[in-house]
Amino acid sequence: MKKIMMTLFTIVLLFVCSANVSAMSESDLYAKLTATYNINGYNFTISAGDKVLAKKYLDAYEVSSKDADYIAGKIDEAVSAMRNSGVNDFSDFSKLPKSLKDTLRKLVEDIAANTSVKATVKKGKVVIFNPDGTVFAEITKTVKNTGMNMSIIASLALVVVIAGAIILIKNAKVNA
Amino acid sequence: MKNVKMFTRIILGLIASFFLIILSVLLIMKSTILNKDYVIKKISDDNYYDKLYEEIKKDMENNTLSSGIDKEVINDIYTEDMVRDDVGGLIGSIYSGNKFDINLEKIEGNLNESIDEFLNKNNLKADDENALNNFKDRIVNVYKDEVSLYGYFNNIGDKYKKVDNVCNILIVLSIVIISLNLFIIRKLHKKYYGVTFLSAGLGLVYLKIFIWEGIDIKNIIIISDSFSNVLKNILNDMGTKLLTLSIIFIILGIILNITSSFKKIKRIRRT
Amino acid sequence: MHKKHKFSKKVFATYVAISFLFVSVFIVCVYFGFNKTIKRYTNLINTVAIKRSEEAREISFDKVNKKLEVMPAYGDKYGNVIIDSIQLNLPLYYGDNEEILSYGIGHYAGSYFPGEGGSIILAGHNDPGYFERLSEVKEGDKITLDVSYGKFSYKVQSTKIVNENDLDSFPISEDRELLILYTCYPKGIGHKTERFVVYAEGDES
Repeated sequence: MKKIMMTLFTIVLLFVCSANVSAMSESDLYAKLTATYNINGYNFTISAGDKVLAKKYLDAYEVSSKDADYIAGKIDEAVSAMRNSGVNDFSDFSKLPKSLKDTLRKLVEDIAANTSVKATVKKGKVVIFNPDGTVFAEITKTVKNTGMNMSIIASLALVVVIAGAIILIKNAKVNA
Repeated sequence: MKNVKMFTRIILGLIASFFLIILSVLLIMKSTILNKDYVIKKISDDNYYDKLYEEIKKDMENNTLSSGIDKEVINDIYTEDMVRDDVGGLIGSIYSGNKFDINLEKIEGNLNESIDEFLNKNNLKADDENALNNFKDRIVNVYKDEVSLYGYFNNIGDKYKKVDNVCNILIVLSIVIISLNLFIIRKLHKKYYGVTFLSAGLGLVYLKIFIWEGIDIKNIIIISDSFSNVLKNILNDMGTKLLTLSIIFIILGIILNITSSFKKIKRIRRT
Repeated sequence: MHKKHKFSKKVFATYVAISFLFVSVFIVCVYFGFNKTIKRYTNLINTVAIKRSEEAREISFDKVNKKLEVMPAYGDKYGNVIIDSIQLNLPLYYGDNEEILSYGIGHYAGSYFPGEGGSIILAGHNDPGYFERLSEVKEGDKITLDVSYGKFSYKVQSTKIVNENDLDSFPISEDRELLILYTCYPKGIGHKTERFVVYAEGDES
């Protein structure tokens, strides 16, 4: 009996510990969203303005650890896909290899399909909504390639994954 | 033997019913969203050209701010007919697979004239040619972006051909299978015509209720307000057609089931 | 011998039952075969299905943590910009797209709000009724942001003419309440690529 209890306890402990190891907090997610990624010689980071937007949104709305992990995973997939593509010129999104574009589009769709995302594209801009149906922000030039500003088309791949990520909500703190 | 016959009838009925559902959905798609004339009619009925004309005008006016140029310069540089022709051309290119480029020469020419007239009338001079060209490009690009849905027409065009090809193959396959069931093996399957139609009708009701109703069509907003309205109307129309067809099949199914439910009774006359 | 036909309820019921059986099989096949795909596409469509609200949000400011608890919605008017030295009193909107800038002064959404202790970036056209006279602002002039949750005063520290792409001239600081106002420069025909920028800091007086 004692042996069984010890085994069960160990299993539970392992589960709890592993859950803690992989569970991501909002501040971790914020750090991931605002990190600088070096992709084949290009430094990608979201602009200072969009870092502020990300902070505002994460402060206003709670993100569960499970969903934060999901989003972080998608960001990693996007970065990995861009690195493995071998592309070293991201200045024109339309000229990226089809397989890379398809991969990135699918990642964006994954976030949209699997999270409580409310966003759309209107007049060439990504529009993000608050849970109450009002507009949170419009995102235009979001990603800055250090030393060179990139157009929304060129940055859309990484950025929309991030933009899509920051609008994930579960329990709104406001207007509840 | 009787059991084998019954089992075969059930399988044939099931297959016929499935393919009747598939054929119905495909025919609805072919007559609506995959049909160029239908889409153009819907756009026209929804006053899309008029709304788009106004959206373009508003955006152009906003772009005249900070330019030192009055918004009157954009008056009449484009017409609703031009909008209609260009939108029609882009829609046509989706269905034909041929590329359509919006010709901006006329608008550029009209804009140049209009700006010159404004400058002369107000005794003004453009001291920075680059700044003036920036302004002209912005105004002309507003027209191009709004009419072409910010480039999304190209995306739609690529997807249309693939979807249409798949639809055509499935339609032919469905017709062949249903024909086999209804006409060729009819001796075996005749009594199950009613079952086929009734179950197809109920299947379409399921699609309408559990899939169509799961989409929040009335609140869709994408690309622009005018485009969203057209999209919503087309989706609603497809849903209505689905429901109408399902009701027709259910009624037909019930009638055929009733007629198939009459048993022959031999009555021997007493002499 | 006569042949008559009699309607059999039992047969009819059997046919109807078989029909429901077929539909059940269809539903099961659709559910197990296509549920994931259907769910994915309906979710994707529902991502862009948004029940819009035009109701103004009740903005609330946490004075202890110096943070807006409830922000205005993008596109909402939430205050006024007042510069007495140039007789300017204009409506202030959250957001700075072209439509918003046609209504008044736009607040760049990627910057902080008055009172939060970070950079605040406001834009306005150089036309009459907007920031037409912004280039007349001098060092020491007072700027007031009269917003729904309070009045905030700033003193002009400096002005500068910069290129529109010079992002370093629009620093976004999180620990220094720097008010930055800008407009197109110079006035003239066409779209200029320079901006006249005013820098102001909190005025305790």
